[in-house]
Amino acid sequence: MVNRGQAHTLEAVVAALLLLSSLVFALQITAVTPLSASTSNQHIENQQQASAAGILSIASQNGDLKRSVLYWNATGQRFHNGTINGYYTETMPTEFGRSLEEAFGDRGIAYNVYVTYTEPDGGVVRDEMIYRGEPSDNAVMASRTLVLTNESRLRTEELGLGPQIDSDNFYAPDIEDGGYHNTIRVEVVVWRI
Amino acid sequence: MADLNGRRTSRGGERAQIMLVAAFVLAVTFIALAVMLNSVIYTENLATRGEDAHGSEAIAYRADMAAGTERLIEHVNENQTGESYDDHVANLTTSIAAMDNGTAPIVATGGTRTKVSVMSVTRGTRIGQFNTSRNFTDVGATTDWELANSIEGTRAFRINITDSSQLVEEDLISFLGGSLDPFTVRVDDGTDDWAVRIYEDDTTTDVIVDVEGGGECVAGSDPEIDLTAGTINGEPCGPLSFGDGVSTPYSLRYEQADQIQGNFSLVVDSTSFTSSHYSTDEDTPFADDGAIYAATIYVLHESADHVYATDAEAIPGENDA
Repeated sequence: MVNRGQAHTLEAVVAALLLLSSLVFALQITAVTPLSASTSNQHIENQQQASAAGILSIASQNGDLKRSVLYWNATGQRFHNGTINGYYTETMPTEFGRSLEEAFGDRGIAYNVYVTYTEPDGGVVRDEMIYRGEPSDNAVMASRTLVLTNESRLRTEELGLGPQIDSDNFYAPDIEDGGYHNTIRVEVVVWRI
Repeated sequence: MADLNGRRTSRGGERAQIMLVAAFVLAVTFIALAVMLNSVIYTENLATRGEDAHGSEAIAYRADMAAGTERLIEHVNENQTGESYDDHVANLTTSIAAMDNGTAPIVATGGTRTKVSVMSVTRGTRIGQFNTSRNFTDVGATTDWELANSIEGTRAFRINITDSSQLVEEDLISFLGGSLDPFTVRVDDGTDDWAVRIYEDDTTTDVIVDVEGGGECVAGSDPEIDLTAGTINGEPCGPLSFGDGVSTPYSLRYEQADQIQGNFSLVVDSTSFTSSHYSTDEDTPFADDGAIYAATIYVLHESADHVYATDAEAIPGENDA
């Protein structure tokens, strides 16, 4: 009997694998629903993306997005009270910033906000508005575009109306002679930490 | 085949074959399990992905471009007064092409091709007065006068009261027992009419915006009233639903226009008005019939998984909050 130990061990392992395979097979033949258990966190990503898109929609609709994009300190060449690099590392003192903070801030979710615009030579520039670090592989992105005309005015620190934007006092240059100034795409990148 | 009975005496090699086969079986099984697990994750991933092929992105793009077009229409109307309607349309077309050129490279970074172009433009008349210390009478000081007629639509109708004390006080108003009539904006299609009366509370400096047969809203002194958006100082006013129950075309008139002081501006979808009411000076009522009322743009949003092409209407101030 002693010298059959190895064979018995193998037999046990094979039996265990057989059971496991039956279990996996049984799981596979049941319908896959969005609520089936898996190691994937796709639901969470979808949820985060929907939240970010919702916040952007609301901000775009009620003007908060425009106010935030124009919340620029022309003399300091950065967003009002932003860091020396031009962007915020915590949150932004506008309604849009507060909405993001309320939605994600205290839920272990980090977010970056970028502004993308076109240069007169056709190149595309992406600047940070809120930057909290390098996004993970599971980050999701939502974006809205905002068209600025020459009538658009910078916002003061208290969100009052400042001077009209031009190529000198605003980060996005005036890329055309007529009333059109530039298009800003606001991207919100969200990921779990 | 190896002898499994173990009668052989050479103990080292007696089970080599079975061990080898077992090792192969194990290796294949583990690979099969890994593949299966992967497929489970992949199926989950597919199952939970949106099925709308990024439709929301395309819809958001359409809304953003329509909003941009609205801003460009406002720019053309406000900055090129005195120019002809054809010049305005040409300017708008150029600006929209520029907007397309400025936006396309940004969206292209996400693998999406976009196109915006002008389909059609609706001509209208921009009426206003930008003198903060004048009442709303016409250039000849007529108090009851028609701003325009044959109107198919009105947008961005804003009244900014600069001195509420010029309004009639509530206790003096005829329909409330007094003898005076307050400032009234009347929309009339010949059969039905809709009117809003603006007057002052008799004890405070509050301004009352009273829709005839509809209810009223109360605001503080010197409010900014947006009649077409239905807001006072940006706050929604329920009864203020411009032209409710009146069919198009309609006429628009001011009554007792000497009982109010401030600025007003509006754009109507009509070029029919009596020019003697107006001058070219923006300190008195003026009318620019070369203005753009609305524009229809063609929007294309195309990527590997969808093609979305549609027309979008841009009517600035029609639904602004």
